[in-house]
Amino acid sequence: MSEAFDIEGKGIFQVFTGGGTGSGFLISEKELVTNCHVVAPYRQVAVELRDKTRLIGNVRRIHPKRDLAVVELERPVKETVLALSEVPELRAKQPLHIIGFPVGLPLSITEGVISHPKQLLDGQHYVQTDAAINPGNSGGPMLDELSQIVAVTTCKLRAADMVGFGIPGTDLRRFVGAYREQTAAFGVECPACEALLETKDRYCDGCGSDLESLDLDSYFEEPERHPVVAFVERALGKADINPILARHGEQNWSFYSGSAPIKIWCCCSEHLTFSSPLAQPGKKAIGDLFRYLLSAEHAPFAFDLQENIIRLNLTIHMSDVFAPEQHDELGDAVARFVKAADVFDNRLIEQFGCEPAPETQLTFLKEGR
Amino acid sequence: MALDSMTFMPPLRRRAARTDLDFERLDAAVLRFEQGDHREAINGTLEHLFGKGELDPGGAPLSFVQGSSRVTLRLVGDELRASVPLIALAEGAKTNAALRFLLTRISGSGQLHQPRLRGDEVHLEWSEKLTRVHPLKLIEILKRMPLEADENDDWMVDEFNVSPLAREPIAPLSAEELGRAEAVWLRHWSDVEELMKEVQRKRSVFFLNEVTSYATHHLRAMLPLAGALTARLNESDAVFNDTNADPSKREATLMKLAREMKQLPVATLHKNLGHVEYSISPQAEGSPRVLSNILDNEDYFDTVQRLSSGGKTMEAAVAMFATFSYLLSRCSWSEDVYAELVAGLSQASGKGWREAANGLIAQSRAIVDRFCKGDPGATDGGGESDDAGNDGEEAAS
Repeated sequence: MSEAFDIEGKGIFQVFTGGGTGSGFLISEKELVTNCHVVAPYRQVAVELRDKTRLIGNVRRIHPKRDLAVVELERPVKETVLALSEVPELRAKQPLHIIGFPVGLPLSITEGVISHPKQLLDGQHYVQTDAAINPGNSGGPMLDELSQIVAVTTCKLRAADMVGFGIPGTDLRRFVGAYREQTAAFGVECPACEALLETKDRYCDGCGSDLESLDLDSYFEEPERHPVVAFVERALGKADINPILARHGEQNWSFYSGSAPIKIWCCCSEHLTFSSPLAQPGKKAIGDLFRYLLSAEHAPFAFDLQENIIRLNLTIHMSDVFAPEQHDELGDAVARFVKAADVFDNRLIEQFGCEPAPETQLTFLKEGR
Repeated sequence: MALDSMTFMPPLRRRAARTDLDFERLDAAVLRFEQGDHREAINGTLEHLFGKGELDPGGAPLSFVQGSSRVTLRLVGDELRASVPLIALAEGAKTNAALRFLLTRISGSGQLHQPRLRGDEVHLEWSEKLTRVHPLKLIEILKRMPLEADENDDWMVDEFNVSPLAREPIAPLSAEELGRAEAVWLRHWSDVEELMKEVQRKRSVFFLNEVTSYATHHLRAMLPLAGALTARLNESDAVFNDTNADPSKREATLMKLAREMKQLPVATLHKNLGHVEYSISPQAEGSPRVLSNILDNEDYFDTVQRLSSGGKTMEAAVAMFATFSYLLSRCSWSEDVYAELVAGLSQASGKGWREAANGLIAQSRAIVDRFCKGDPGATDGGGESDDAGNDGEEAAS
């Protein structure tokens, strides 16, 4: 790998579910590999492209023990598909590069060396590295100096410094090869014999393993939705937002309403917060702007300033979340909030000379990219 | 001169009138809400908070005083509306700074009430359809909204030259009380300054935590602070009591505050003192469980005992003063618990470090024995950690 490496356009994307976020990389224009623990037990995930648009990804095959998954995208993506290294043996001290989305940050690269090419841990071999691995890196590629994939980032030792692990390329190759022959819409590899299990069953047809005792049941069922999740996702449906595309980890959602970014989270045990960072005050007519933001006309929404970012907020009390008879009306309020956010970012800029907040898509949409 | 003992004078802050909240009424109100009897649920919640109270179906407002704020609650059609006047923008005011303060510090996500500008008046407001006024939501509004106004109104008037808006009067202190308050004030900041020198010498984070806690809670337990000064103290408190912040930043903030407060003009101190009435106690309800959690905390008392027996008697004594002050400042207590806490501090006042520490430790044991033993609500019930442990691997997703 050359000293400067352009990480853009290399087919590495962030993967979002209702359980967390991770990384993934293309193995074809329409298929992505990530970790099983990034996607499971969800059968549909969101994959975010560089322009922040998100695609639905259907999970086609998972291998819970080897921690691999293949996700099929709803449409092809025109980005480079990184090659899988053909080199049969890795060497200790060989340079290694990890690309992914650590702690939710934009695409980043870390580097180190292979500390052990075939480390045995819990009965499986891993590529061990000293390159930094952080939450969010899971499922991203580990690259050699030729920018070829040698492993898939999976985990690190919590109690140690710089001891991270990748799933070796040989296992990845076998897994993808098996997937290529798969006709079923979804399947789980038996942890013992790697036969494809297409439906939930007590025993593996191939090797007879007791699949319940291996806790494989859960991979065939979407998790039961928490009342907060059910409430938010129903409300998003009313706002014509696909909730799967909006998921951003556990009881967190993020999406764009036109150019306005919208974030939803539980800020404490009592409140569910909807917030949209819209703009930054300009240099003129500050007083008029502040008066407008504080005006009573915006109720039940309210503006605030977080440092210098103007946000539009809506707070819903948890008692409402647990009162299904209120969900229709509150869903309407959420839908109004989503629409209002997209209107306000433009209004604040055009009427009060504000600057777009860094997260808005105003510039992007104006350029028509 | 180095500090050789701590001082405790009789508190000027009056013991908060303790409202024995009737939680059975609250449970009944929740039940009524769930049964769809929304108006009765609101009345039940008001009874839980105030012992009485009923909304006028005709829309006449119900109001009550919280410090310098007055909350007004009224039915308007099928909505319940609550509001607290905050400030009015006035000619000559630093309007932009005041509005920015409202937007950054008082507006916000994660809260139901918001400041709303009507003409030049700013009110904290909340409204909700009756069918959504859950008792817990109403309690949150009635507690948090006026407290926010009470904490910020005077400060905004001083800082931005805005006008007070329907501010409730506060009972002034007598001349004798003002004299005692001055003595408490000066002694407190002088002691804090000396303690901070010891913090710098001893370089112990435990000691820093205890001194910063003492700096906050001793003053609040002693003096009826009411006014803009509280906001100034809160601003610094948020830094020097932040145990996640850099210790040197915390030290510098408290040192600066101690010096500034020692120099505070007497007239300013007087202006910021007053006996305030609260319809709902802003303090947490003191209970055997709270006493037990604080005064029967094995790990904490092991540390204090170890310091005391290891010759670090100053650290042990200051820690105990901080703990007792915390209990007095944060919670409302029955008369006998309050008297025992005050007695502990009075007996330790002016004593050498070892004697003060041992006396307060013994008093803690006595309080726990008297008020917590045999009270089923005083313990957490134990229970073992359910952390089954793992092999130390952590997924990187």
